[in-house]
Amino acid sequence: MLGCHDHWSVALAGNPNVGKSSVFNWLTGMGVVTANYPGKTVEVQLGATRFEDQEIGVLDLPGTYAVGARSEDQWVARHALFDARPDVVVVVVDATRLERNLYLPLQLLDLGFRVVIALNFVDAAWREGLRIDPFRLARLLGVPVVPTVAVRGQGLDRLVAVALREARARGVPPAAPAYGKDAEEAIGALADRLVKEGVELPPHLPPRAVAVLLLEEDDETLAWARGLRDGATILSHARQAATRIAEGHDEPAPIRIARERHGLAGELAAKTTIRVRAPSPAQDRFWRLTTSPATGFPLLALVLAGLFAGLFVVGDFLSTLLSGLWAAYAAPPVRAAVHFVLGEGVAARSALWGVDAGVNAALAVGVPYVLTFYLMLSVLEDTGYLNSVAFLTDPFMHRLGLHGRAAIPLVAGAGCNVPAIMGTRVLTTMRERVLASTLVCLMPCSARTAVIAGAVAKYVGWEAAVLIYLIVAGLGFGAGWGLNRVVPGRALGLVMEMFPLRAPSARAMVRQTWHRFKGFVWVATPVVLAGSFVLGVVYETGLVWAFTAPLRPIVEGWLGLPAVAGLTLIFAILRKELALQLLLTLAIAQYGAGASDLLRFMDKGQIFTYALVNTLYVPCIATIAVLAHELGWRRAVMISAFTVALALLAGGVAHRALALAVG
Amino acid sequence: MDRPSRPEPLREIPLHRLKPGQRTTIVRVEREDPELLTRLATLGLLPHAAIEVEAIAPFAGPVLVRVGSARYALGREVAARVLVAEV
Repeated sequence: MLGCHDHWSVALAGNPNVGKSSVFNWLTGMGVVTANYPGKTVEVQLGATRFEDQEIGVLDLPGTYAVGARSEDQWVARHALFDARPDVVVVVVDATRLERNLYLPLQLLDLGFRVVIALNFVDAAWREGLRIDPFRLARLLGVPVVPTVAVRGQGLDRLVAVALREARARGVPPAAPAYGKDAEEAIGALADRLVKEGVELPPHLPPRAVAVLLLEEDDETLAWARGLRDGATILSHARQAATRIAEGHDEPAPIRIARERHGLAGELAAKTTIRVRAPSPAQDRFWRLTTSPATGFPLLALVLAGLFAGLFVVGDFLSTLLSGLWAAYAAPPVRAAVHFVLGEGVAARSALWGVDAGVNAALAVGVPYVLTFYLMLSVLEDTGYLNSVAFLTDPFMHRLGLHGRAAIPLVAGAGCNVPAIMGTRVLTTMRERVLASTLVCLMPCSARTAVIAGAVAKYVGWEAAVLIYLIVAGLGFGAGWGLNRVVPGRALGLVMEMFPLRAPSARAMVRQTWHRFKGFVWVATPVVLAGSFVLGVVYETGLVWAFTAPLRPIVEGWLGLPAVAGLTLIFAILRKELALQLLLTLAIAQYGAGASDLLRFMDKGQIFTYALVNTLYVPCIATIAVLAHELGWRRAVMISAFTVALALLAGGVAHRALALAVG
Repeated sequence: MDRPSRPEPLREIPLHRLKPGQRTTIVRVEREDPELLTRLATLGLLPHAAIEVEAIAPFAGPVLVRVGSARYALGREVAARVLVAEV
């Protein structure tokens, strides 16, 4: 995507939580496209904006601390930058944490990009008693610096104008950072060597950039060098330069370079910042309140309870409301239309499973729970409280191979698995996401709780219902612990920045929630509709009864359940609440009207086993859709298979244990 | 008779053994894990960096340190590999 006359491309870079999304959202409005590199779950967003009659393509990179290749978000950021080759990179920087944030723009300058700095959160810096001189910073850094308060849109017009001007200044080479004497000598010598030997450099990378990358022992650059004709020579020059640095400073060259960069960043921050008064104690008070054991844990319990209640109660209420509205207003015309087109037969009834029951399911699962969860997650993330949650819960999560950041998705799973799995995006590695998602699937969501309440608590007793929860919890912990040992890869230690407490902007949260919700709708709805339709065909054609015989050994033999129960378990994949409704419907179909009292055809032990298996085996089809979208179909199938196996195992054991207890 | 005093070698202890409020400098990071080393270096957790311990989570939880204007939560097993000058 090379910028040419009248069309420019701008990339947005910056550390996590510096307000980069506010800048992106303000610039781009509608028409944002999300793109993925194959095999990576971190996304980049592409949008466009117009300014002074110029079309500007805007590429939103993931928030990263650097653009190495070690972690997934850095890999994606780097590749997106190199693939897109923007005319200018706007680096959004947090004025309250300047020397931390200047590392990235220095690295980008090393790589030869044109940079403009958006000095964001200047209002917060002012309140903290900091005064930053953007002109001095611009002069020392050699790039334009524009103060902004992105969340209110202040300074952004100027930012775009400055970025455009910088993009146009193509003939002038961008400024390169000046590190310490030894480092600069080594970099310079290596760069000269590369030029002298006539090495064909990777496209668009100046010699200095390649020299720095080689000295940093960047994996991809080393691989590139090895592939060259004179690769061995180049690598030996690089090693010599690295040794000179290492000997001079008693540390390996990559660490030295990092130190130089941090040092320069610190120096620039110090020279351009004055503190006029002590920082307000509000930040420290917030941290102490949320992280000290005495106040932190009670607050955490309150917040998690609120999260759970929000999903459970509000979600449930909205779910019932939407289902009711659908049944009252939308279903009749839909039914009429389908019957008009397809008549009254099997085809029509099957189609209705898709367009009536299916849409109802997507609405009843998606809107209430996903929307509610995302709103709450936005508040937790944007205020910074998510970090406190992670801080307090990390040691517990660690035993499950996860980090404290997984606590939120896990608790959310008790309301609904679908947003909880999407919420695992707060975790940074694929391994964590897979483990967390598997455990989320084992969390009884509100639909499964409804079955436990409606079947077990009602017919067997509340103690039995509690027992189910205990069994599921035990299996969950066991699964987490076991998976942590078995799944390849290691759990990386928690290294998380605790960014400052901030008042969330309602507009930004709503926008982000809406964007994430749209993602869910696109992903889940087709799968839910298709799955419902297939189930409809199976049911309406009577094919469902054909499954009774093959399933008998498992359902009746191993689990000790009536054949009808096995069939409903298959259909409950559509919506887990159906596990109860369908059971009654099919039972009445088979045994007659008296079957509406479950105890007429199932004994208490069977009801218990049924609810247990229902709670454990794969969650609803919307969850499978989301699993596939977040982790890929292969992993989604594996996780589903795992939960089915676990459910069958637990069910069989429960059946036999109960038989022993009674007999 | 007085013996000539020898210079004391720098005493280093793992980060998680410090108490909240203590300030020190990082001496070194244990080298067996290059990935961790890179992550910490990118964040500025390098030898000679000045840090302040702000909080330690209970139940063998993470350590909250301040480096410059930034704060980081380091999991217990990470903090155990960061050796700092004894205070």
